[in-house]
Amino acid sequence: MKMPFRTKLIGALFIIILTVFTGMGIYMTLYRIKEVRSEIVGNARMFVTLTSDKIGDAFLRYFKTAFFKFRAIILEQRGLNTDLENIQIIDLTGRIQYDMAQYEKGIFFAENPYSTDPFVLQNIKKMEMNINADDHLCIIVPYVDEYGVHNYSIVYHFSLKRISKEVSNVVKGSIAMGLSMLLLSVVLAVIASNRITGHLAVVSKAAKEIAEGDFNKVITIKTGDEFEDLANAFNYMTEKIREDIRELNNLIKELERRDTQKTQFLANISHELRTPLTVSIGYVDYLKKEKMGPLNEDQKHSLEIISRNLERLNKEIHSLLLVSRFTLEGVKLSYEIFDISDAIENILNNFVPEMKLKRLVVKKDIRVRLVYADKEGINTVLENLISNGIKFSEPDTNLEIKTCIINENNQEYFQFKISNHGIGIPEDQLEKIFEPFYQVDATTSRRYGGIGLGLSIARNIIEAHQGKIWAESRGGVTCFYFKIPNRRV
Amino acid sequence: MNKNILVIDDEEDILEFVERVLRDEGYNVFKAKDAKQGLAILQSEKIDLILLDIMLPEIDGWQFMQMLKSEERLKKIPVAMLTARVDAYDKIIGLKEGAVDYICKPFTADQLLKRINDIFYYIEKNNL
Repeated sequence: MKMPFRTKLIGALFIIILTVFTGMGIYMTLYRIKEVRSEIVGNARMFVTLTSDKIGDAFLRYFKTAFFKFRAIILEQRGLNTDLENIQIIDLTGRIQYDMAQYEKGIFFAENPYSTDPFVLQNIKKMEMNINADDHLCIIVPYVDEYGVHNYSIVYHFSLKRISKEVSNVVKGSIAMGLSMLLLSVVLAVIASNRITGHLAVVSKAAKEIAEGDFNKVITIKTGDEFEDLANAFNYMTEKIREDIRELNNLIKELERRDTQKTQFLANISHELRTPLTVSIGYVDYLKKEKMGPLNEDQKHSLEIISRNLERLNKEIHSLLLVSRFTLEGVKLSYEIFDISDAIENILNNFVPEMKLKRLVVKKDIRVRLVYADKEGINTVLENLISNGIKFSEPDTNLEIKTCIINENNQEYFQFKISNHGIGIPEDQLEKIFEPFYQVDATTSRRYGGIGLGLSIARNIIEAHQGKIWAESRGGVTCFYFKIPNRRV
Repeated sequence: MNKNILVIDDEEDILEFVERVLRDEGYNVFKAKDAKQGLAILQSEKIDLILLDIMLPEIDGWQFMQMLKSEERLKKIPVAMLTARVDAYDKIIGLKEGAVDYICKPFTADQLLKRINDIFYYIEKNNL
């Protein structure tokens, strides 16, 4: 479960404040207990000191002869201390001679006249005070008569109930105080955490705005503490980001400029190469046709080689020019209806010598003939795919060509497929071969020729048709596909 | 009567090649290295077809064509553009501007002659 920092902060502050108040309450309670206890003990001592002789004398003098006088003295003394519970006079054998509490209740003769209190029995001969009893303080005072004889001890019992009463008062008070403190601590915790999370909210809002691209965001927190530091660090960061982005943008512009320059350079070069090529191809062709006089076989053969190489040069220069043009200006299409079967046939005718050499068998499955697309462009694509297919075929294999209509997501596509048997293409390179100047490995260009622009050009053209071009390769069988939306006029 | 063809191209070698091919076929060929020379020839000769390179110094092929169109005497003369195959993407502009055809560089003698024959055939058939 996700818990906001604010809630956690409120919780933490609340617990801290509550702990402090509870601690204070417990301390106050303990302190009060100690205070009350020592007050009771002090009072009791004083009372014992003041009354023991008087009571002892009265016992010896009046207990057996004038009991009412003895009782009057006892009661008079009893009135002086509110904690007093009982006064007993016990002889040294432990026999209780007088028990005020029993006597006042009207019990004159107890069933067991001996004290059962172990503390009393143990300490009857000594001056002793026992405050260990839970709710009860017991003080034993030996009484020595005028002849110095110690026959009796006076045992005082004081109540300690006042302590628990006092404690309950204190507890009640601290609960009342605690409740109000609880309320106060909630309020304080909320205020404090609002103050903290308020600043955090400012920072987090600014971070979001920056993430959405507003890098000019500056946050202001003037608290003179860590939050101000945070705000400053944050502003420093955005400033750095702004700088980096400026630099990146400059770099991108520079790269774009250089790329355009490069492409422009390519375009210029290809244009410049075109004129010598035109003149060369023209004259070679003219010579070959014996328009400038008859030729012997050797001369014809040599001209044939020159002618073939010029044609190859022409193709590459054309590709370069096409790529640079597509890069600079994009692909311009002019749609028309044409027979793709004728186009395929024409291209295949150009490759008859190569196909004969490799003894390739072409298997055509043309289910769709008429296509509405850019004829020039599609022709270039077919030329590239077919020439690739032938170039990369092993001898004595089949070259399969298929056209059909497919349906994808309620959209009709015209699809072309060519598959050949040959070296195949590694899985991880199936995408890269459509990049300009890419060849599966450097040696392929030497073995198969070409500078690797054909597929890149084909992709440009197919994508301009809102279509897709791709390759699949498995077990030496490589298939190239393209599909373009099947438009109607 | 032999047809008069004006070829405008800034490349001497191309001019010479085209001249040779056309002359061998029986056309009268006039050569111009730029638009100015071309206009000068047009003033003095009756030209049946202009072969026009697009990339010319100072006044390019498109501008030259506009100049032709603005002159009553010259605007009926058919123009075929000489252009790189890639520039065939410009063919729509070319045909809109009034060129009747375009011939892709590099071209062989046969291709050139066939195009020219086609153009004259088309013009005669349509009585232009």
